[in-house]
Amino acid sequence: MAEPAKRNATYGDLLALPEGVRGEIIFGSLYVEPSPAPPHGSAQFSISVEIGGPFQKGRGGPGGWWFMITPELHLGPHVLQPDIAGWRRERMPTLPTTAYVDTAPDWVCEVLSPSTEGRDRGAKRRIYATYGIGHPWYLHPVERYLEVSALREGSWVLIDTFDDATEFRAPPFEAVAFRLADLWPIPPAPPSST
Amino acid sequence: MLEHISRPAAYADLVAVPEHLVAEILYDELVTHPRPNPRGSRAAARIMGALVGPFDIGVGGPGGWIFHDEPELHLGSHVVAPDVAGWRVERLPEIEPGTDVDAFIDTPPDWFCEVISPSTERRDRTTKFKLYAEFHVRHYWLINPATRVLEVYAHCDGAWMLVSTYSGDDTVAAPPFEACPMPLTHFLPLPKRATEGEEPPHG
Repeated sequence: MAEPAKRNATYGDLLALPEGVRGEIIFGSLYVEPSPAPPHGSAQFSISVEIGGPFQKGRGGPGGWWFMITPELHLGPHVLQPDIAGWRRERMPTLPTTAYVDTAPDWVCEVLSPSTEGRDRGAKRRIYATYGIGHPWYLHPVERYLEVSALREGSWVLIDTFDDATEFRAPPFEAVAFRLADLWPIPPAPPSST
Repeated sequence: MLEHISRPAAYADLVAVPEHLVAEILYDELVTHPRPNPRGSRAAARIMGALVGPFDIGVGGPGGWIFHDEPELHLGSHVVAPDVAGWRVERLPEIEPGTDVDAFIDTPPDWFCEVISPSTERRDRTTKFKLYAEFHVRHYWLINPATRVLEVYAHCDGAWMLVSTYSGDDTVAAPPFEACPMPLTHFLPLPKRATEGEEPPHG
């Protein structure tokens, strides 16, 4: 039997996915993820709470941002759903009325998991560089670290990687100090023997 | 159970660590992790295997390097046990036959590769970056056999720059070994089943 010719994924393919299934189109390929597992979803919520207060609501911080959880971003031919994204309000003064956002965010946060880390650190990060998303945060809820990079002349520079031990300030939210331990919704697992 | 040490760790503390653990002294703290699991040790063996031919022996490549597998490094007051490390040959003293050899190397490498595992990832991404920068190591590769990702970092202008990231069956042409491009599958074989999460476009 002849193999069907490979074609690039289309937005129609994404719309045809069942309810509750997340899809992304990255360099012409469709990637499907089920809803995130509880630790992942809870970490997304925790970061949103910590950052949203000072930077969206202006409580204990300067405000001036919008945030969305798993927004559908249309960046050129790509359709991405970062775990959290933020926009400075001067770049996007009103929220879109469409089901998607085609203004590139100023910040994204990806919560890493084994099935997505390859794409998060690889193809998606290359797309973020192309669209000038300057300070992606990578949060690993199981290994308990937060990695912050900055885009300099098209290349990623590692700003720092934080663990539970320290209070930290990291771009683009350096106006407020955070404790990484506050981002974790669950206490650390007991040490494993392997 | 290891006794908690509240003073700066000493070499004697490291020697007292049981054989089944790997011990390091980083910023005055004794830290241990289990010996690599089979997936991790295979990745380290493959990396050495892929690089030694062209870059150490000089077959199919320019040579000029010396690699060591799990060496004990004494860098200042730190005792570091990386998975794989490499030195440009002119920077390591020749070992004369018949002479006594120290059990450790105190010349900082030109290149480290750490194989990420759950027990080491946080330290590989935090403490090790800081320490290697202090000792002017210019090249750091992080390879994760579980996610099948290779990250290549280079230290310049006071910061670690992500040079490139490789996954799947990408061709790796990464400093300092860009002279011999090779498929990532030389370091990390592809799994037999289809990559998790991938679905073909609907027809």
